[in-house]
Amino acid sequence: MAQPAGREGAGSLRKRRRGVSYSRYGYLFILPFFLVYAVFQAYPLINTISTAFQKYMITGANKVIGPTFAGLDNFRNVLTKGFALRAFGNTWIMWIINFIPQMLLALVLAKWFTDRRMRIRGQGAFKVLVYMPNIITAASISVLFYSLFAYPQGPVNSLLAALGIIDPALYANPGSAATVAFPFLERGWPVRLIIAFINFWMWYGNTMIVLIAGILGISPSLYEAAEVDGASQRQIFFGVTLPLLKPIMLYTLVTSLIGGMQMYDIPQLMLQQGSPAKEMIQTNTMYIMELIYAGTRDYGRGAAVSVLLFIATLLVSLLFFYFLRDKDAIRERRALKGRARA
Amino acid sequence: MKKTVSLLMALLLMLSFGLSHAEVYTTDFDVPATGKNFVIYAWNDEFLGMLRDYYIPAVGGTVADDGTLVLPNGDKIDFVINPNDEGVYQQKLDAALGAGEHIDMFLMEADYALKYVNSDFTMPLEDVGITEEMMQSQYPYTIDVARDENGVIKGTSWQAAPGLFLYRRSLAQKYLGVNTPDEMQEKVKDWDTFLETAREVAKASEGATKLIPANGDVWQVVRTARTQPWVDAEYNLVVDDQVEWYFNFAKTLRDENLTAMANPWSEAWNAGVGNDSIMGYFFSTWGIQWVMTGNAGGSKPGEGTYGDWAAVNGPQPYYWGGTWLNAASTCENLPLAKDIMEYFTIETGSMQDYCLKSKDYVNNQEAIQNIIDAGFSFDFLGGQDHYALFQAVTPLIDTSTMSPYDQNINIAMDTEVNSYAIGEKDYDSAIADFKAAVADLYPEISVD
Amino acid sequence: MMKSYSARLGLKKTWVYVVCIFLSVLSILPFLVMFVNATRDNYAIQQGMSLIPGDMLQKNLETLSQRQNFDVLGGMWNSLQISSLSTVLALYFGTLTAYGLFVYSFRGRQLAFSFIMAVMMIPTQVSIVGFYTFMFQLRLTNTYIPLIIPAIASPTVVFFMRQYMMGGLPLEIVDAARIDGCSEFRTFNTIALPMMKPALATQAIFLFIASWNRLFEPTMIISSQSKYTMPMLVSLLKSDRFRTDYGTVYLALSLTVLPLFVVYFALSKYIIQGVALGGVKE
Repeated sequence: MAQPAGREGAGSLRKRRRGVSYSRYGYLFILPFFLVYAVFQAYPLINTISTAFQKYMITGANKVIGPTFAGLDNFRNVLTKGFALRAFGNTWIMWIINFIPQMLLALVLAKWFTDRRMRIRGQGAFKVLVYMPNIITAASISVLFYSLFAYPQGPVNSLLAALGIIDPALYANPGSAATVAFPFLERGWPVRLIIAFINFWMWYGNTMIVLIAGILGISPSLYEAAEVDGASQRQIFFGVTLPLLKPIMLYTLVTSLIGGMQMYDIPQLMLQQGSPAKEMIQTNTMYIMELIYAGTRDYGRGAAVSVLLFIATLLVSLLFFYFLRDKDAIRERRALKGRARA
Repeated sequence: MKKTVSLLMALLLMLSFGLSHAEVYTTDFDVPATGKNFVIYAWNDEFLGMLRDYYIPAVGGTVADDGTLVLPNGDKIDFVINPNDEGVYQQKLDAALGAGEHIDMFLMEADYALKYVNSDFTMPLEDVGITEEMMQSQYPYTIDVARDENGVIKGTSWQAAPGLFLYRRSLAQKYLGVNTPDEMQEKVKDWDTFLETAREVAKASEGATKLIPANGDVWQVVRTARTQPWVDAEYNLVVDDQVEWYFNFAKTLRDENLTAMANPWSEAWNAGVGNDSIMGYFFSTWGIQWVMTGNAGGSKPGEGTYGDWAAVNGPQPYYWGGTWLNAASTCENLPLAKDIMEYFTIETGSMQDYCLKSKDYVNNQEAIQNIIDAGFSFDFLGGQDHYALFQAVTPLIDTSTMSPYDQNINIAMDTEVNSYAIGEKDYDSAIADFKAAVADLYPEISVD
Repeated sequence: MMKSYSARLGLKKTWVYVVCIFLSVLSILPFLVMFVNATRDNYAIQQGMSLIPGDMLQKNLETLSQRQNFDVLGGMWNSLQISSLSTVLALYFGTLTAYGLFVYSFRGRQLAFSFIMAVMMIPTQVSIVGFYTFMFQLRLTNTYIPLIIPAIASPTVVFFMRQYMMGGLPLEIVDAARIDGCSEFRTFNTIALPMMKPALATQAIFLFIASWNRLFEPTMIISSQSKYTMPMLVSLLKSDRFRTDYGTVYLALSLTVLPLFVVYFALSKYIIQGVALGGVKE
């Protein structure tokens, strides 16, 4: 009773065998997922959203206030007197500084490695090396960089002294080192750049590999056709390769942005207690953590910032799906529907 | 009667042997076993060391290979240590207490003791078996700190924390030309003179030596000179005049490069005790034995900087820190909690023994007086009797400006002071941002 | 004409190699410094950057192990428990769900799948407040359960397994098994699952590593240091305790990073392959 493996055939295969319906197994098999999701993700999300509209905090050691309905108070507070806008700004700025160079470099490298004329060798080893930082725990990398940029004396500062950028004699003496060494972790922009660099360093290998796979997936006949038409390498890249890479680049951008908006590990561990840089590197999730853990534990406002973060994430995803919609497929489907009805 | 006799004998032994380190103080141990671990929360291993090096040997317990402390009755002590960075110790403690986790004792610092004292997470000491009468040898301020709103005592401390200014004799001689502590005191007798001296030191050493590690040390001193606490009874944030003075003082220090920029507890700050980069440190009692003797690079006069230090009163009297023990409301072994508390905070004999060996300053006026009467001299300080110096400062300690919010507010202020000192903000913006930060941390405090 | 073209090409190639070598060095350099500093003492580290190993490894090791509260092996064991259990659960139930969506036709199938796709884009951090208070009510804070059980609902696993099934799981096999009298569940476990091995293996690597490296959620849930995961222990290295001796800090970092290095270089081929196939981006 061999059935064709086409869509129609498989459908009737799934649906029944001698009149027995197997569809209930579908429900059964997906049940654990939805059950766990409902309990551990959906419910907390709903809980968070509802808490955002309530006054609910713990002051002192254990004095609970609320939960009582508070309308938009929490949102008003975190957006005007609180630091939600600042946190969003910090997060996005650090993401952009990381992402643009990351994408550019990944594109350039991907182009080089897929260029059939240049035939660059050692690709495999190179990929292994540049992808490696992605595997290592972000926390470890951050503490490593935190230690490297120590002040007054630390490895990076000592390198500057060795290169003569800062006076080596003054640097060598711990008492006077402070006057010449750079307090990297104290200033906002240096720390932002370090954080962006760490993210860049951890992810550009990943992006490059994904882009290479994307380029290799483009049919060579398109390139041949373009070359026959007399297009230069440059024109081919910008006219053929890039447009066809658009979906993948977009996917990378969106996943990077969504991940970037949740950035926690790196900025949190680059934070030095008392450093003025805090105001410039505190991200959304760091702020949420501070609201619900430090000082008075304010779950209402923490939830409010979470909701804002959720909305932002949702908007980005929706934009992504909108840009990525396959216009041709939609047109086709509409045409099919039209034909079917006729 | 038997206990008093053995105490007297121990005292006599100690007095006659002077600073002999070979004796192990012993005491009876009659706490019944419970079969459960005794859980203590702390932010560093100071108290763990105290139990290990003094209490366990005294009662006849043992230390297992992995470091676990085992009592004579077989029960074990379980230490949970969460460091203090960014106020994390409080956060983890609150999470554990809030979840009803089994904690027997936890330690509190002055900066936030009030928060726990005023909650029902701490048990009244009377319920543990320690009455106010038993605490009569303690310095009164340590008792008052641990009183809740109704005057019930909730915590007890093994130390008093008056502060002094410690400086390097040889460096002071070299760059300031002073030869005795009294001459040094003249150089630091008030803040204006102190600033001048800081300039003198930096100039004379061509930047190689600075008078103090960083401005954070100044704050520890100045904060006790405030007349108002951070938060008043109506939950208003109070920015005392001393705060504005401190902001500007810190900026001056920064602008003129008068400190070694070695933040408290940083690597450079610790190392400065053993090298020539820093001439002086502000420390209260625990600082000497907890930080300095370990970092001096030696254990005898002549080794490293050991013996080259001296203590003076500095620009003003102050106190810094102090640790309080308390029994948590979830304590399941009150007799053991009582025994430990008695050993370190009540009994003169054990406290005096601990004091002499550790060089800490115990919360027992009788013990301190005994030590001074016996003619104590500390070779780390070139022969000074620092106990006498501390004893003179202790009555001046005024803890009325403590609030339960101190730790986090100080951290928030630190960020703004640094911002201001490096010139990122002007004073008004710095204070405005400070207020905004405090309001965000503690919505119940009104900051306007 | 040819000569100048190939000359230009040669120049370009050289430039490419230079850049690639520079980037390769950049990827390794910080780790090299870290490993080297683990063998030097604190004073030397503060005085200068060096790529030559020192001889203080033994001493640093002793100092580190005496600081009783940095239990590298304990932290690794904790992380191992959480990561392996959550990986197994995610793989099994993710594949189960994908199988259910792929093999069976039922009302709401498309809806269910679209829901999972939609949910894939929502990171767990946004619901952390509700998650924490909920776990607190259930008295599950400071346990590993909130870090393991949610893995059963992993949308990305469902997505990738379904992709793989669409290409690699012929439905005739399911049918054949039914004819033989095999129950649906047994069919899944004994026939379908083994066929998915390559995809399972790749996913396993990514899931495990991602779970191992997580800091945010564990920090929220766990408060006892004895239960800390690796990244949480690493965050302790910034605290006062360790600020007297940088040698031990670098050594501790090296130890935490070492297992990942070993795993990576052993499995690098599969990892890179997996990334190219659209690996998980956390």
